Amino acid sequence: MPVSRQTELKSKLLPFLLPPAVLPALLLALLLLFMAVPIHAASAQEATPPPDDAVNAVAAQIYCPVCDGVTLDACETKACEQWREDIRDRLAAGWTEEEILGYFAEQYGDQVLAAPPPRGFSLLIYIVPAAGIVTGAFFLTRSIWRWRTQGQEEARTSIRVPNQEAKTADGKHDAEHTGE
Amino acid sequence: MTEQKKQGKAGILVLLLGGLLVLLVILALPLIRAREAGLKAGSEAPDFTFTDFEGSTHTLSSYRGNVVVINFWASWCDPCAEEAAILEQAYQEYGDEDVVFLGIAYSDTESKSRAYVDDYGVTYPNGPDKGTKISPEYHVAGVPETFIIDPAGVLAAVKIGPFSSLEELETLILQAK
Repeated sequence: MPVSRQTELKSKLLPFLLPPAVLPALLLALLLLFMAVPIHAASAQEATPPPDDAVNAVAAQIYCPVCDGVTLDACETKACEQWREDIRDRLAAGWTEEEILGYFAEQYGDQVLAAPPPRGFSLLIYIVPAAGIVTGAFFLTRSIWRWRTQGQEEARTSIRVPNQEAKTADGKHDAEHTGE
Repeated sequence: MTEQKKQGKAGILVLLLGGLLVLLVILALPLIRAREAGLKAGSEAPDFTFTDFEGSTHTLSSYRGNVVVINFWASWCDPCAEEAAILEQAYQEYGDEDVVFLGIAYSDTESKSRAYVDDYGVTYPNGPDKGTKISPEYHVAGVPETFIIDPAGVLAAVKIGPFSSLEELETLILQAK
């Protein structure tokens, strides 16, 4: 290639050519980038799964679908094992406890929750004890009040009665003395 | 204490006892229902709608005129896996003869249910019992349980546990036709 042609080509490529000092820095940046990708991938793969305690904390709030009154954390059936696994997957995916409980209630019904939400028939669970406490407190207060009033009434009566009895006794005593 | 006061007190007491009785009945009803024996052949099949894993919706009453085989199963249930091939075989034989097959996953996780359907090569519609609403209507106490409904929508047969052979299922389907 003639020199003039080479110079012409060089001048055309000049805007695209990098200064020699930038080249090592660019190579180093690329190297770091390639190294970072597998590191990131590895860290994602090796992300520690949620601990059993975290899984059991949620599992303790959900009933086993095949046993009566047993929560997932205390059940060894295959069904519970799968449900716990599902909880673990969802916790690992960043779901909150409330989200998981909501999901299970939606999928399997409110009856799977150890503490069902206060709606529908489950509302009775919350209303009945409260109503019982209020009614009980009312009757207890009334009984105490009556008992106290009655006690005061009896105290007044008992103060009067000995005097009358004393008077009667005195009268009788006097009569005996007088020989009547 | 006057007579009126006495009567008022007795009224309140009767009202309280009555309320308590009503409350007890309300609370006991679900327990009584749960203890009731399962659906018997001859009773009307409870209607339901469910969405299968492919996203199609199925309503039982829309299949009037067909025999419907409803199988409740779960991926965690070993006997269900044993009968999966029998049900699929029956579907291949009778699926084109006005017999509808529906599989309902009972208390199962979706990922495991889908894997089960794939693993056992089940091709008829299957889906979850979302919110556990269908299985209580059928008094499902465990899996597998299969209900065969005649073309008039009446329960023709109930099979508790797995089918031991294709013939056993075939007999029930033919009886329901």
